[in-house]
Amino acid sequence: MPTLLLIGDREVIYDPRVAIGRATRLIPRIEVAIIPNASHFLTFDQSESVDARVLDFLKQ
Amino acid sequence: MKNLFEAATVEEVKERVARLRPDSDRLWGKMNPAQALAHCSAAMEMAVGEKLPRRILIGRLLGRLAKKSMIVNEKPMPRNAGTDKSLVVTDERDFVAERQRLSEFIDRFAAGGPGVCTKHPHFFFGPLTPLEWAALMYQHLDHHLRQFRV
Repeated sequence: MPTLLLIGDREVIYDPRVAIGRATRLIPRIEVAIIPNASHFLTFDQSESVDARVLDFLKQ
Repeated sequence: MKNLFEAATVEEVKERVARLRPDSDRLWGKMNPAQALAHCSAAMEMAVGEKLPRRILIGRLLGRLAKKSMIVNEKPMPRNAGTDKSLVVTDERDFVAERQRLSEFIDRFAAGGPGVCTKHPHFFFGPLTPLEWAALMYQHLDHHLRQFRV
């Protein structure tokens, strides 16, 4: 199943590089993106770009 | 639902706002008391339709569930909850001026009653009735007053 992983570049709850490394190792067909100027609450911080990415992904 | 259309609740909130100090201790978050007051006024601007943030996707997916938990069942807002960018206050604000502005906004909201509330959907929770707006505004003020131990 295709999976989209979005992580804010200001994430502090976990290390984004570690999370992305683990996810890409464990989840086949994963698409990853770092969202600029976004914290853990990327869906609020950068709602326009996150919403657009999710909708584009769902259209694929 | 405890809400800002109730005179006793309005008095309670205004008394707590009056007890807030420019140097009140913060339990969580990044805003100082003056910024939090300005943020609460911005939320009330949204409630009366003077700010119209667009609905966000995560709200379309989870907003209805969160509304039931937070507004209907009165579960307190979680610490460090996210908010719309248009409601974020990062510049320095004058504490006395912001406290006065918020106090006047609370009075205006309460006096206006259900007719003062916007029909524009909340950016996260979606469409709200006037009573739900009034309950949410109480919850939001309570959240930020608790943030500073008031």
